[in-house]
Amino acid sequence: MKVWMKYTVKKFISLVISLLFTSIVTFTAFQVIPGDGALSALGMDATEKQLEEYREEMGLNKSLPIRYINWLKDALKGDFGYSSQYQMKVSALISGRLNVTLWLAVLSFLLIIVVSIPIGILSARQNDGTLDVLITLLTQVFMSVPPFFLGLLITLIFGIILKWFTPGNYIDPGENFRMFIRFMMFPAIAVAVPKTAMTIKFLRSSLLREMELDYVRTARSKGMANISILFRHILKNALIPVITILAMMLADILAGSILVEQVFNLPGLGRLLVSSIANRDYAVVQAIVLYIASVVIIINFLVDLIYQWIDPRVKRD
Amino acid sequence: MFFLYKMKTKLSLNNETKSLVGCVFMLTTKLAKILLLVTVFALVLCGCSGNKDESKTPANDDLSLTELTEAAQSEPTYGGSITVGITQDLDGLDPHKAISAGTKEVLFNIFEGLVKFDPDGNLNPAVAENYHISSDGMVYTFTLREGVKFHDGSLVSVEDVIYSIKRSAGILEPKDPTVVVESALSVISDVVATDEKMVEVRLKQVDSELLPYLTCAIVPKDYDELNTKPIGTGPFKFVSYTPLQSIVLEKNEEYYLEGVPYLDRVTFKISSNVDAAFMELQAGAIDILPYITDVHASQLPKGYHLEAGPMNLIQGLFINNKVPPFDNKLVRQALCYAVDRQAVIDMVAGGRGRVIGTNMYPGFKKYYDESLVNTYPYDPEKAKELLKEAGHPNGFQFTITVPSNYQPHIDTAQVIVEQLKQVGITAKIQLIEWSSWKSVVYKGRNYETTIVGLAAELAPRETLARFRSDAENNFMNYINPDYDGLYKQAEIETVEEKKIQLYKQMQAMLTNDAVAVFIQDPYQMTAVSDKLGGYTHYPIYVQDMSLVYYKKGTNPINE
Repeated sequence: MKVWMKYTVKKFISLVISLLFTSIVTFTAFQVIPGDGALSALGMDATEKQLEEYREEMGLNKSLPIRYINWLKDALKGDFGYSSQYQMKVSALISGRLNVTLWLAVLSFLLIIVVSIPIGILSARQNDGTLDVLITLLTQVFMSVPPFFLGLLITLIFGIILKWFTPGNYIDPGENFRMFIRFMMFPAIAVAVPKTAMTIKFLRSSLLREMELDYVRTARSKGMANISILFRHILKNALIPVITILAMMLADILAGSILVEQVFNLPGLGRLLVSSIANRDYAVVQAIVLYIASVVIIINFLVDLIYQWIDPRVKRD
Repeated sequence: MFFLYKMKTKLSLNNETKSLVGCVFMLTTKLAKILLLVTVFALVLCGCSGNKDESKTPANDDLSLTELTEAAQSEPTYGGSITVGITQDLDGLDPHKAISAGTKEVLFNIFEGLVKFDPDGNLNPAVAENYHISSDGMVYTFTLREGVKFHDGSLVSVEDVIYSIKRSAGILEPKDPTVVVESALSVISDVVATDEKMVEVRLKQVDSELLPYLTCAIVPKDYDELNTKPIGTGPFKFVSYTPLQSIVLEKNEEYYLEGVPYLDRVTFKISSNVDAAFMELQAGAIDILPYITDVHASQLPKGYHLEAGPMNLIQGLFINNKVPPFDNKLVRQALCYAVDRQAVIDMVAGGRGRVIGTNMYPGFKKYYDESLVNTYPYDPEKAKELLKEAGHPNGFQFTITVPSNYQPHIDTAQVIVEQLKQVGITAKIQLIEWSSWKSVVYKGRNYETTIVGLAAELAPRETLARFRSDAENNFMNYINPDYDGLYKQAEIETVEEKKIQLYKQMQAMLTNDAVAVFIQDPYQMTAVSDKLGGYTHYPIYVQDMSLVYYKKGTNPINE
């Protein structure tokens, strides 16, 4: 128990340090790139005097470290400031968009797991059979298709030709949950397909590698049925590298699928991030970047925990 | 003010699609073949639907004149709701703080000023019933219209008017620095009420072109929720706004004009880019989609028609007059001769646009000098001669800095690069992100040439103001004391005829000095559902929904 606590505390400290570091880097990067928040807010023909007054009001004319510390003080209190583009609280702005991104992540992640694990197992069991060759071929293809391109194809085929959904007609979950899920399935598929293909390929090769190992032969020679060897021994071991991949994918999806959100016109975080960068809406960008960094770090942390759960040997290392 | 046709923040997805698909193709040949099949499959699908559409809407190409008359003939009905696609998110709901044209054209439906533009560009009384300008031109007196109500039901008072104008002009105490002050309004010294219905706007100096700027929104005094729950006097009331999604408006039943608006509800749906929005239109989820491209115009699905009109925008190859070799007038003139403007319009916009020769919109009919179009006919030989004379017999190299977020400007740059090769000039295109363009090119004046569009000013003088030697927005670095002199004269001139003459003199000066290569006033194209009538182009950026109606027999509510 003590080891466990120590581990968690250690991870937590590294989370805080990483976030601090990330926020400093984002903050500095935003000062280095050309573009001016005051200009974005007041328009190009604002006079120097007006710009100066705006900077004064918004605290933009203070020195860099002071501005950073001010921001940090507020952020620690949970106040991420005010969006200059939308003229609303950053927290309110982001929480609304986050909902969309989270749902997209959940749906596509479920799709990935539900589809890839059975197919991966099937493919490995039929190693070099016709089905396996076909699956390998298809995974190669789908791995290489960028999600947004797939999104365009899906919109064209299912949206415009078959009319299974109305492109761009996103409906809030609060308004009509069934319609919401129905619409979200399509972007989720676009996000999931390449990642599913990748997971299948990974799982297949991981399973095949495990099947060669001695413990499998031992199990077989003591008369264990193939199917139970697969599920009771091989799968557990083969999943470890796959979980790493899945975790990376989950972080990736949670960070917002910028292009898929553009194609399907989803009001998610990715689209918000793009428009905030374009408008030099510093407070929003900073908050989203921090969110993404937290997601990556926390997921890594969880993966570590899952490793230990699956394979207790990891803990000892 | 200054925009890319409209300030759009859009990813040019098309391009990315192309280049990324290109990369994928290079991966492996096996893969390439399979992808090729997928792509061919997709293209076949596109092709099928495309062909079908074209055959059914042959009228797409000869603009919308016939359709306009058709629309005028069909009888309007009341009620119904529509969805309008917009490809740029709003930058706030407070009309005094919004700067983007994309926001203002939506807010036009909610807010009104003392006066209001009509589709011909005339100013009609709105919140004011009439106005009077004193003989010395220093005082504008407005009489408020009887019984104009805000959307919350309260009557508009002189206090509200004073507050609104002072706020817009930046003379309200305490001052809010986030309010965007139009420079034209800074001439106002005070606003006072003379009785319960009369308001006097007093000026620091004579200004005969202030009126168009008094279209600035009248809002309730000291109302601090403009940002979240805007209240105005316009034909539509605000219902809701969700960032990245939509803004919903509903009919103002108590609007003071009889007969409008027709529609009960208008939803402006925000899309990430015009391609995504066009897909929604193809699926029938959008009824009106402005700012579509030439490519979209040729793919309009059945049930939609095209409305087109001038954008009131000056697209040009703008030159930094201070940077060699462009500090030499001959070089700039050579550029003017070397660019075939009609060819640009034909190649980039399918011929939809009007060649211009100076920095004035043809929309300002009285003031615009049409003859300047012919000052620099396309003449590569003449261009070469001038280059020789200027000491560049073998041409030279330069960079065209183009904002990366609007394709027509990039396309224009590409055509111009090819045209300049004919006279031995090598131009290189450098793409720049829009926010950087604003601070580096526009404010920093750190560029050689750039291609953008100068968007509609409300009054003709403002379009000429930026060329004064000391103007803050004189990003072309044009220095000419004679021009400054003329401008000073025009500023205080009250006799219309003389003013027109001065404006034309200034335009001619800009053209003869070849300040820039003025290219065109592009057309804006809007896809409109055949069920709807009344869609009207304005000489300013406006999507006026109060005139839009369902034609008889098509209104979903009446059937």
